[in-house]
Amino acid sequence: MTFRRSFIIMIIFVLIFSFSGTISAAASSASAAADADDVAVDVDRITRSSDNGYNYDPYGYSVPAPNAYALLKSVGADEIPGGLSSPSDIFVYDNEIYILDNGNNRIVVLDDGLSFVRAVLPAYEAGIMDGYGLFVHTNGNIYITLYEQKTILVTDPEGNVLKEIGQPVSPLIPKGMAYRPKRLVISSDDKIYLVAEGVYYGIIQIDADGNFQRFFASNTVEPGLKTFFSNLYKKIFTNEQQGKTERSLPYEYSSIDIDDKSFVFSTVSADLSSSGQVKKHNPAGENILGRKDPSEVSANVIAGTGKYGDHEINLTTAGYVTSLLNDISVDDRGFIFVLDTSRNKIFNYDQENNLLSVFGTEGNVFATLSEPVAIDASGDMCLVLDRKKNTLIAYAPTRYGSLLRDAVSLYSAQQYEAANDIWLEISEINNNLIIAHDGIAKASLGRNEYVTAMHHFEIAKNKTGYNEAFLQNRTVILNRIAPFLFILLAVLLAGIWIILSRSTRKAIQSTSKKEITHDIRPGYAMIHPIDAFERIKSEGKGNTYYAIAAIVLIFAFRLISLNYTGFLFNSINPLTINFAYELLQFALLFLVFTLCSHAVSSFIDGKAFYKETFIVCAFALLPYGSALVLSTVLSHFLSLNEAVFFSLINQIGVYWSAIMIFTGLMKVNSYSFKKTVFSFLLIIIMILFVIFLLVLAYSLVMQFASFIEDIIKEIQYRT
Amino acid sequence: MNDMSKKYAKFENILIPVLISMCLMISVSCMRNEVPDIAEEHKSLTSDHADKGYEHVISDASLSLYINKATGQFYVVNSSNDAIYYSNPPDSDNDVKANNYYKMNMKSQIEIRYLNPKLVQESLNNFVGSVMNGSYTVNETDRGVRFDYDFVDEGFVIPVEYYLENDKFYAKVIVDEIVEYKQNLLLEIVVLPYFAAPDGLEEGYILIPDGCGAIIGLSDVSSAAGSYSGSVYGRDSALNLLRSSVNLPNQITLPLFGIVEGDTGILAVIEEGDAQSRIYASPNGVNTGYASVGASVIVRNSDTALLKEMTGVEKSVTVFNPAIAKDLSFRIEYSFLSGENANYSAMARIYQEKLFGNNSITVDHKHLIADLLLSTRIRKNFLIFPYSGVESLLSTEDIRAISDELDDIGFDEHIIKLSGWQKKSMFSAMQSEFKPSAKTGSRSDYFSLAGDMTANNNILAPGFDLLNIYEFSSGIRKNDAVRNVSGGILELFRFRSSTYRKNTEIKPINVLNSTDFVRLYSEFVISSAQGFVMIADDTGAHLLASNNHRNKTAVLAQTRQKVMESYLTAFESSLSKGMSLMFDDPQGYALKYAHSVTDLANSTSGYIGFSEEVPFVQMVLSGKVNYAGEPLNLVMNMHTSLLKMVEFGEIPYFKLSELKEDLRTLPPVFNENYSINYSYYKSKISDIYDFAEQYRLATENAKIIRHEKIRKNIYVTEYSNGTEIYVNYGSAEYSAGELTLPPQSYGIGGES
Repeated sequence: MTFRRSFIIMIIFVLIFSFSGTISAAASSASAAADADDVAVDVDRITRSSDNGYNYDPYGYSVPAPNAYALLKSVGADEIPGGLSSPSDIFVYDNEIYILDNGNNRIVVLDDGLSFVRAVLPAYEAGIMDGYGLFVHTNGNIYITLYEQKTILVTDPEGNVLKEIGQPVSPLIPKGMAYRPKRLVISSDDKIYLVAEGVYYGIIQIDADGNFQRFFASNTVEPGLKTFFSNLYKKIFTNEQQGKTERSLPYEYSSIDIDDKSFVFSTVSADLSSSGQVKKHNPAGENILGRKDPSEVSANVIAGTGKYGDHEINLTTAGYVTSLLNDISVDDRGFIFVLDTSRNKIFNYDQENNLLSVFGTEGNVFATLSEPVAIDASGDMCLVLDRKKNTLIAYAPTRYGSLLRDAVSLYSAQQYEAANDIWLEISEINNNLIIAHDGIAKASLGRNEYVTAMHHFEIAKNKTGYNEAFLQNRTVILNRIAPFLFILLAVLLAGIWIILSRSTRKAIQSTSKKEITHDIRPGYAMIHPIDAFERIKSEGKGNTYYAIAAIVLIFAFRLISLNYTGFLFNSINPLTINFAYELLQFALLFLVFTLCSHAVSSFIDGKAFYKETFIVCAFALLPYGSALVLSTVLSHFLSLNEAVFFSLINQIGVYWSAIMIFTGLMKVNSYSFKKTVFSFLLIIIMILFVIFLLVLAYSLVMQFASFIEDIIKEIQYRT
Repeated sequence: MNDMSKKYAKFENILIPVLISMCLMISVSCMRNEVPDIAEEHKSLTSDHADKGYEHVISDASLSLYINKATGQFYVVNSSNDAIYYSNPPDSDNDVKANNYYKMNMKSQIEIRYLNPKLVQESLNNFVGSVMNGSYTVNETDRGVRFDYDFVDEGFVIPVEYYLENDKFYAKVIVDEIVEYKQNLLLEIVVLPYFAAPDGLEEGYILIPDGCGAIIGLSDVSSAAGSYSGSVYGRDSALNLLRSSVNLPNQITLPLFGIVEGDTGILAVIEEGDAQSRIYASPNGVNTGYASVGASVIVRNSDTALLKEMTGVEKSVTVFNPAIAKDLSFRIEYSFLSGENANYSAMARIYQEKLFGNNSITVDHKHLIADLLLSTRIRKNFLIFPYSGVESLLSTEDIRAISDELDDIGFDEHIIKLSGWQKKSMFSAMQSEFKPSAKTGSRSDYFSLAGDMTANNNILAPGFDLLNIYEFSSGIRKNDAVRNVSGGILELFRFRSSTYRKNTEIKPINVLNSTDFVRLYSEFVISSAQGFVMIADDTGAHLLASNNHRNKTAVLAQTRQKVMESYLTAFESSLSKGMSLMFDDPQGYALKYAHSVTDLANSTSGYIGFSEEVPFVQMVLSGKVNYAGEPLNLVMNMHTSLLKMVEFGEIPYFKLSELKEDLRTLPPVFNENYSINYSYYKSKISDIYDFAEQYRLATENAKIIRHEKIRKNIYVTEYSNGTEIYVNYGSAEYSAGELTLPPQSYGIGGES
């Protein structure tokens, strides 16, 4: 008995020892797990971003920029029990981040520190493996769009199914409309806005019970060549024949978000020919993003294109690779994040359509995106869900990004002066960011520092702002110099009056037509075109050297205009001005016109020699050239309000030149008026034909050169 | 029995079993913890191995080489700690994680990559291609053993030698003696990919000097990680770069790798053929149950070229250099480490000694480097004619003022590098003489300034680029440019930030051949030596392009290894003329010649399998060379970069200039300098001085001897004077003993 007891005690002790060994092993394993956490890459220590920051300059070229957002945390299997499996959407509500974890048939909830809180398992027999979109109502109920099941599933916060909303039914919904619910939002008055695949008619608006209300914010077919030919096709061919062709359909919405004021934001996933892929809808469904009212023309996004996403494109064997904007989120401060699933990037805009930053990139290294599917914002963080990597990636603003957010917030609230110091700092951190100069300019304008404002508006390429500063500055200057200006004007007028009265007296004294002994000069031809051209023909007073001098002068005027036209009237990128190209273009056009004109005159019995045609055309262009110089000078004194004068001067120059060419060719060819008109028609046709031939020849030569180059390369590569 | 006796009996019945159990447990425990008799184990192992066909080949003081002539497999025994290092995992057949392909690979010592006659790349290991056929010869040499593997079907004979020398083990591919006798074209030979492959049962890591250095843990690899490969000294610039993206090939700064497993380690240094080599690694569990790392030699260049690139109908073709590399040898030296030397800190120390000859502190310590952009090119008008003109940003007087202000701030003993001093500013015609643009100052002004700065223990160094050809001139013709793999003139494009594709609107850059580079280098050194004590080479330390000129008789055709050797001649010649060198973005081959370096990689390529990035390269340079990371004014997060500067032992580095009010934006090519105004950064430089002063004072005249991650976000760097720099990157306070580190800060501990 005693022995037995002793034995039992011994066994128990040994067992306890063994068990304690197991515990210690488990503890050591736990410690290893903790160690494993310690050896993971420290995100806080990362000093180099996996993507290079950039933005666009006013001409649409990408320029380097500091990173506005940096990786904050990558949340995956290590942080979420069971990890994520093919997740498809995220939604931030009440400081919690909801992840639609399709593969695991659950919704994962994280706190705003990105730590796991709980998992909601919807009690839904069919499962949510085909879940696409997720929305959490202010009452805590969870809405899940089920793509394949064509259903919206509504559960309570614990996952108990409250209802299922099927495909909406209404006479307004066309029969056979494809319907695959993708993403939804719910407004404060319980209207459900739903984006569905196969629905080209707009965003579906239903009530809380799923009853169809209307198509909200219908997209229209964008006018373009494709649409034109499509419409033409419809008129020519039968319905059956049309059925075999591609239909022109409006772009389908790809995603949707809603802000705290119930403004709905949407994206369309469209190709590069589209603009306005991001919209902010007022309750009527009209796009008001970047506009004070919907009737305004779409504000510029990049270089006035109105296009969102990347402006620069890839051309590959697969065609153009352009941005595909497939999700959108608006944060509490109104900043818009748009997810480009084609290039795995996030574009960050303000509500005035300024592109603030681009971040994220595709790749297979740390902190890159493989297959981003959804985006949302939590506080200052931007959250992106990667379906392939099964991770949630959180980005946070860098110091530059934070400054940018602060400055834009103040700027949007029109607190330009308060934003000024931040903009100044931003412009020091990123000299390439033009919006900073816009901010500085507006603050300077507020301080009545018009010259500074004009300088920064010019860098920012903001003509409206520049015009305002210019007007103010001009008024100040005029007020200062007005007395002297009027005295100068009086003196000038007196001088002119004296000169004119002398000329008049001389004219009265000499009643007979003055005999011109020298060759006709361009200046005389400008003022007396009919007489000058008649003399060129009848008296042979045309001088080729004068004509060449006139052409050189006009080309110089053209260069002056290109280089020195004031900012308000000049939209040319100075970096693109190429002397050789301008010369070639000018010379080619002139020669083509004169040669075509001469050829036509030969064809319809015109009497002009080529020399005469050449001289006439050269002299005739002088008014155009003079108008260019005059308008260039005036462009520094006129505001946009007086743009009509600028245009008028140029138009006068063009019309004057056109009349001179017309009369000149009529005189030197001895045409009648009707014949001159007829000859002009022929010249135009001939010019078009010659241009066609030139383009064709150029294209053939280039193709041939390319062919030869390819052969050389191929020989080089294959041998 | 009385009560006492009963109690005693009861006590006895409990106590005795407990005592017995304790004895049993202690004995069991002793059995568990019994120190194995390694010598005995070794004897038994060698006896086992003898049974398996291993024969003793050679021994030196501490190493012995045993080889199995039937399989080509071998092992090395280190008698100093009786550790055994197998060429191939001995239990590879039972590896549950490896499929048959990898099981075969695990039995091989070399793996080849080649182009078949259809120009499709294939790979094969020597076990399948040669050993299984019995088509190899093995001969013992006076120092080891030589195998000649004949890949009969593919038509290659590849000689490999394994030998011992000075207590080190060497693997050598005798590239000169490689024979190709069929139509296949040999490209690359991977050597000993599974040598000493750890099975992950013990703690440890693989060290790869990718960027600043990184380790792949043996037991904590990301499940998403694949295999790793990277080119030593970065990719060959002669290869076509289709896209500039984050998926660029990984860049390995130093020609080495390491393995640490428990208390043993291996440091493998590619001693010969380093510029032609790549390093391959595979974390434990990715392809096999073993973690593995090995190196390869590229014996022939091949590449993918695009016909009609970016036209929408582009077509890719494989191109190759018909000539196989000659006059090339490839040798890896394996050092076996144990105890306190089995870690990356010790490896850095060992490599430092190998690179610089000793571990003593020889650095001419400087406190800050400022790279000043003196001019830019902008569009100007001459009357009505547009042209590209030079706009001066800083003059010699401005430089003098900046230098004085840096002294006043406290950053005495600084280096100022001059960029854009050339007549046409940067990115223009190559200048092999120091003839500055008169708009920034005269030559004598610069020399006078340099003299004054030297007198104040500062250095003025002109930056130069004698490799990138932006414009051909009378001295440099098209024929002087490096040729790409297809034999055409190599064109390096700039890439668009948005699309990562070539920006064809900006003229591509050509690269000068190494022979002319050496000549111009000498000219520049002679020209600069009249006034400067240091020159700053912008490209020579990283732009390493093989020259695939087809004219086989011309000296122009050179392997990357030969090109590198030419560069080294130029560097050596410069030093021999008393001219110190500063390099930008340097690769390992140039470090030995550097006085200072800027833009030294302080992060990695971002390979997912890396467990941690470590300042391995910095530790190699510590005490020998002044080194700086990225310009602090152009980093993503300056505070984090400052913490890293402190952790990695760097000195501050800035890229500065002064943009005038009417030139707020810089033109393309220059616009990467988006934040360079000195007037803005002056106060920040002063703040940085205050921030880093303690660190600087504590570590001056000392070098890093140890680096360690203590826990998440907390790192310690120990210096030779006993100073320990603790850095806390996290958002929580860290306390250890008397040391308390607030979030995002550093602190000083140790015994200094």
